[in-house]
Amino acid sequence: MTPRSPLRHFDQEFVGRALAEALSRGGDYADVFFEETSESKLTLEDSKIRSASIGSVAGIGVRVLAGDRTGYAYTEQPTPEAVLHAARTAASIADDNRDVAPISVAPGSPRDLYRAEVPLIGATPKERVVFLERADAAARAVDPRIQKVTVSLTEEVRAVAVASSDGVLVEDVQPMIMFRVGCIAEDGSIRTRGTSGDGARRGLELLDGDAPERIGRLAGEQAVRNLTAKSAPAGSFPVVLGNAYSGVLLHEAVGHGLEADFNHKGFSRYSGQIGERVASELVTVIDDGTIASERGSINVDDEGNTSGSSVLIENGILRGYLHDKLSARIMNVAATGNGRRESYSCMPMPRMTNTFMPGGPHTAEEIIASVDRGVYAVQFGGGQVEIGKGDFVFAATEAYLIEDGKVTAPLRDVTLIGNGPEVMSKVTMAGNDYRISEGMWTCGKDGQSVPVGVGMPTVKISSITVGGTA
Amino acid sequence: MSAHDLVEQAVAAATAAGATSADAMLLEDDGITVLVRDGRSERVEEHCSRGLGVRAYRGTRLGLAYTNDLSPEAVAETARRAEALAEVAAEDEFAGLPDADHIGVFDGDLDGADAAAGEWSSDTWIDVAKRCEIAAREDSRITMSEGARAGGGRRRMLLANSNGLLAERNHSTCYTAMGVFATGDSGERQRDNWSSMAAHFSDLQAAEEVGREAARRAIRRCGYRKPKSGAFPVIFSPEVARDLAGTLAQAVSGGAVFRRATFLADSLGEQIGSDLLTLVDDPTLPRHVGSRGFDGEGVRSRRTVLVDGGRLESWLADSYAARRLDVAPTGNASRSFDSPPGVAPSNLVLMPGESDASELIGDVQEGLYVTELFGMGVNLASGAWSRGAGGLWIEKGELTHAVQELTIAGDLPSMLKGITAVASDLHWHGRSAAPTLRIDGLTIAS
Repeated sequence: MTPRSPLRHFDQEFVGRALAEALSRGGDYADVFFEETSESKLTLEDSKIRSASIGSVAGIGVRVLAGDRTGYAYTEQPTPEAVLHAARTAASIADDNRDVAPISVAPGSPRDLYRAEVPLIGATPKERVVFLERADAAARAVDPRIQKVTVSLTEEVRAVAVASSDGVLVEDVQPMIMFRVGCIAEDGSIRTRGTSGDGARRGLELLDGDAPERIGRLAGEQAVRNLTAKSAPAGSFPVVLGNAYSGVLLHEAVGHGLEADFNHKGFSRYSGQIGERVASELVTVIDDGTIASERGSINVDDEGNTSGSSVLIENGILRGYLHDKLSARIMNVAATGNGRRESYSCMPMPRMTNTFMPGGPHTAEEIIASVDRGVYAVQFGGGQVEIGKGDFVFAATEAYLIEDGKVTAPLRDVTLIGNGPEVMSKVTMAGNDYRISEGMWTCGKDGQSVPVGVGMPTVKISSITVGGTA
Repeated sequence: MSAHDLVEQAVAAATAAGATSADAMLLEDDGITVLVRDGRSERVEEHCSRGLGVRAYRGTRLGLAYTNDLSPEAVAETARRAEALAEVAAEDEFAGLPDADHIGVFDGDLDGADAAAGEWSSDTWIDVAKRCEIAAREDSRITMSEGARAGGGRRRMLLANSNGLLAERNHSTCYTAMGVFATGDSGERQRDNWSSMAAHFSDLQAAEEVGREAARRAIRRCGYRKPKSGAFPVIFSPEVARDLAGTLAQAVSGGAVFRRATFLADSLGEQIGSDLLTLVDDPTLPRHVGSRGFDGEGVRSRRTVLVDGGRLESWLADSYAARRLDVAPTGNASRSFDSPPGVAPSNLVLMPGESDASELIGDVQEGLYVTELFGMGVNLASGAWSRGAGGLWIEKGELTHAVQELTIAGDLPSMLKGITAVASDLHWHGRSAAPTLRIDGLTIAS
């Protein structure tokens, strides 16, 4: 499909007038965010397409800053009157009255990080069906104990434009493809699940070659392996985290706590600690929104800043926070390109993009061999963090026991819990097998969801609480 | 064109394009939220969302389309796209609109909308939030405010289908929420929060009470220790008992059952828990947030006993799950304009028992009073349950010090059977309610 510019209903002169209206009550910064997002989805269950859907939503959000205060309003009607009304509503966060001359905005030139060779949301979804059928067949072929397979293909094109009172006008068209497989395996009264998927800011070529079969097989194999899982141990143990997916640890234990809105207010466990040691020397953490085609990458953020790469922790020392324009103004630093929002109906906040730890000196085999009795956690169902004290959890959906330096029995789902800086100081080995995870992650904050990426080498945590029952 | 005309036009356009049956839903959602921090309104947000979704069937093949452009041309085009997409779907003997004898509206006044909701303004909520924050900071141990949030709004849903249905639902919701940081004697800093949600402003917990409860919870976390690892009795406070009720509702949801994604898939009619366990879904309770006269497909609302004295009596079902499982729909189709219906509870009540909550704690020699669960460690298929937790340690029947950085784990079948006491103190929050309860057989790790 050829995306339509969300700016097509307005000319540049009107955009400048809307910004002036937004500042008419004394605000000192304003932006107008235009969005038109289309999505199509196919779902296959019991080996047949159960539903096909397509839709689009569009809207225009106006934000006004007055010092550290924010007013926000939006409209779903692409008319000058509706946008000016939203601008006046948002403007009232400030309580002055003044005449503001129209603001002149000039188009900027964003990055070009997305590779969508075969365009998403094609005219005939019918030709997509075969991808889902192939994944379904591959998952079922893993083992006769696979009872149920669900496959979904979601294609999204998010066209946005941001105009701000500092004179910037940028547009971006953000593709996203997501392919997911879920399986249920049964053996007698034992029932388990397996999930896998991939996603990226790419086109349908993500599913080239044997990708559907590979993704289907992974889900099937995980479900079958879990049939023989036993209860995880309870208590503190050394834990080896597998590469790629374990990046969810960084996302929870480090990333959220470094979002600057929590820091300029003094809420975060990491507030005021720039330059201090917050992790072991082996730990470097980077948030990078510029990796070509990754799920968390963006050409520009949702307030018009060019995306960037930020070193958050360097060899264990805290180096910086993730900023949006508001936090950058308050802390008097440059914005980092992390101002993101779920949609036109939400104000932006500092958010992660792709968060990862580069590789270290050890091999995965060495790391596993160094553990007498512990847990090897490979795949995760997501996590959560309490920003103030820094305690976080993440749930392993595929994990194994390590006994005498060898990976042995699969374990049932288990939660790991720890405190951010304490756990990061216990990273005692880091592998040379860094990899960014398949694009499957969505981050939630304050009710807003945005796509993100995570990456990690194999690492060893010398001790963390494992929430098992054995 | 009026909203009523718009949904009827959408259905007409789908059938004119060739659909053998169709329905259309229009959602309108208007409201305001504010954040007050340190006595100043830091954020004021207004929202006004519209959306229309069309389900079109060619026989038993389903296509869906949606838009938030409510011009008659865009709505008609959306209906045509839904019909065209039905070609992609497979025949599915269970698909289709609800049967006529299930369609209808609950006969009774649910009083789901506050008559004054139209006059709620940003000043209304700034006042509530300011009072909440002042009360939260009365205690000198509260050293920082995360801010008080308050807000509310109205929601209207219109549903039409090709069997002549045209129905409307009106709701209001409002809420107050407070987050605070307390500083303990040793300088440790602890955060906690509290909130209230209601359909009517007058049913909202007083702003000052919400603030003071947030403060009380943050202060009692100070001086925490890590508990011992091992098997101990665990007393669930009502707010975490609600979490368990929600998990159980998911486990009896028709969608999870026909997908074989729940450990209870083969357990209908069986004793799945202690005889103290009774779980009810009830959309017919007046003035509750989850109350409604009909569900997202137009099926008449009714009270459903899901678990009665530990026996699994009913699944939660929309019309699709009901046909697949050969049961009657329970009126639990939950739906937004941009997605097909799914199964979800309305108001979920884990029914109270006879004992005093204080007796439950008093009976524990050594164990955990859990007030917080976090993380996603629930596997409905296998029944594995492993969660991050926090609370207070019980010794000789008394609450002693706070405990944190621990997990509680078990498996859901044993947990449901391990409910050995249920108190009489039913607490509501939003769409669900539960009392204090005791579960034996869980493992604590730290």
